[in-house]
Amino acid sequence: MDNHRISEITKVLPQNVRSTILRQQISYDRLEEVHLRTGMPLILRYDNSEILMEQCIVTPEDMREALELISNHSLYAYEDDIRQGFITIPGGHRVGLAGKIVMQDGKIKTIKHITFLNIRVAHQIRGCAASVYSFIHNSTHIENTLIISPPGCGKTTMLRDLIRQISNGNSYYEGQTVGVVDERSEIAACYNGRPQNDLGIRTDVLDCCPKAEGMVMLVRSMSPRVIAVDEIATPDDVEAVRYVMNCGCSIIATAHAYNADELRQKAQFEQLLAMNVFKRIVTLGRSSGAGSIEEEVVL
Amino acid sequence: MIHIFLKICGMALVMASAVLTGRQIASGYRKRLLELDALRRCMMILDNEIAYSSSALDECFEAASARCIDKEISEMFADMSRLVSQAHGERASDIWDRCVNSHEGSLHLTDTDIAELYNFGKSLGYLNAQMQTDSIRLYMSVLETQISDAAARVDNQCRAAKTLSIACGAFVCIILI
Repeated sequence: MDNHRISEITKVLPQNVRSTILRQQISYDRLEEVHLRTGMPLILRYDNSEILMEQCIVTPEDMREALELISNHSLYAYEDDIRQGFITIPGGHRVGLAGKIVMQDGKIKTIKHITFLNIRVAHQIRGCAASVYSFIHNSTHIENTLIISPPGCGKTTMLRDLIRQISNGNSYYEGQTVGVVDERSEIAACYNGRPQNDLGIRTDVLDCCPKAEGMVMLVRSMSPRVIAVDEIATPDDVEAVRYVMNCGCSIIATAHAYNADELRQKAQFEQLLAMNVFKRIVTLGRSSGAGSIEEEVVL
Repeated sequence: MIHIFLKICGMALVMASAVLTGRQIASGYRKRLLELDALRRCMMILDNEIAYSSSALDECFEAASARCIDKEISEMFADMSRLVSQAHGERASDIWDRCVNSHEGSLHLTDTDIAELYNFGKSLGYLNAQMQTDSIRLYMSVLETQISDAAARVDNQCRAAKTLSIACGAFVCIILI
């Protein structure tokens, strides 16, 4: 058991939940999620299955304690994060929050009576993008690449490792400056502005920034050779991708789709694919576990 | 002759110690006023740090400690900052209780003041910005009441302490004679 890493999770849990988990001899590498729901038993997502801990019922007091510990006793400093529905804690783990939404002028103002917490344990799989890296690299530059898969198949993990490899380079390819727009803090998992995941030595991160605006900002300010974004979906995102390409940067993006054919049916991607913007499409699936490379297409 | 000389020396010592005791007690009343004022200033800094900088709690306490005019209170706030930043999975209110407990012996605050200080800690760490600053401002208003009350009485208290001490010293001297 990796004591240091498991303590990143346990130290934000209330006392009785913490002691319950520590009694279970949990392995950090296999722990995926910790679910706390007020009045309900503690549930762990562990090693692709669920562990129901009926002896540990989460009380409102536990929830208050958890929120205090998650926010490092400074819940007031996380109002923007709460509005987005998650808080990133040291180690890059994300805590999803749910409760009663308070609206103001048609926008979410905050979440009150937070009753549900989901701690998603961050895992980096170093080297998982090794074959994709050589696939998307031509002799001079990185080709515009789209990584597609259904949810939970490892797109973000693949993208993260790809960014790290492009940034650091290897004995065949020299490292390149990478700009990352991390709208939901999933790629870099920044805490106090510092990436908790290793994204390489030549990577600049715009954390919690809308993708479309972030891509334009990076091109103007950080002169990246490659721009990486997770889950492009809106017409604004697509427009920003076209802008980036016209500025001479390569782009690596991910999108939700089962395969390239399904992607073509989505209106916002139809034009991009018709214009042959992306030269490489990598499809991920679960045929040999999450993150399996199902298809690599050269366009 | 020697007998009388020793009595005079003894009376002089009794009177000196009575005067010093009176001054010590009076100084305690004045120090209480200074400590309450130092606490009020620290609360203002906490309030500003939370309302305008949204700094983390440990940074807020560190800032308050750095600018505190009273050494003991400054140390108490510095301890709080250090323990909160260590993040051992304790609640902020429990950490605050420990800090107050370890410093209250060196402070000149009354039992009521200390009770209010403990009470303030109960609101730390889990409130949103508005509620957190409201709770700090509430404690500041309590402190202001305590300060104005103490300021109004401090001169009389000091005078009474000094006079009573001297009177007690004189009484002991009379018994010695």
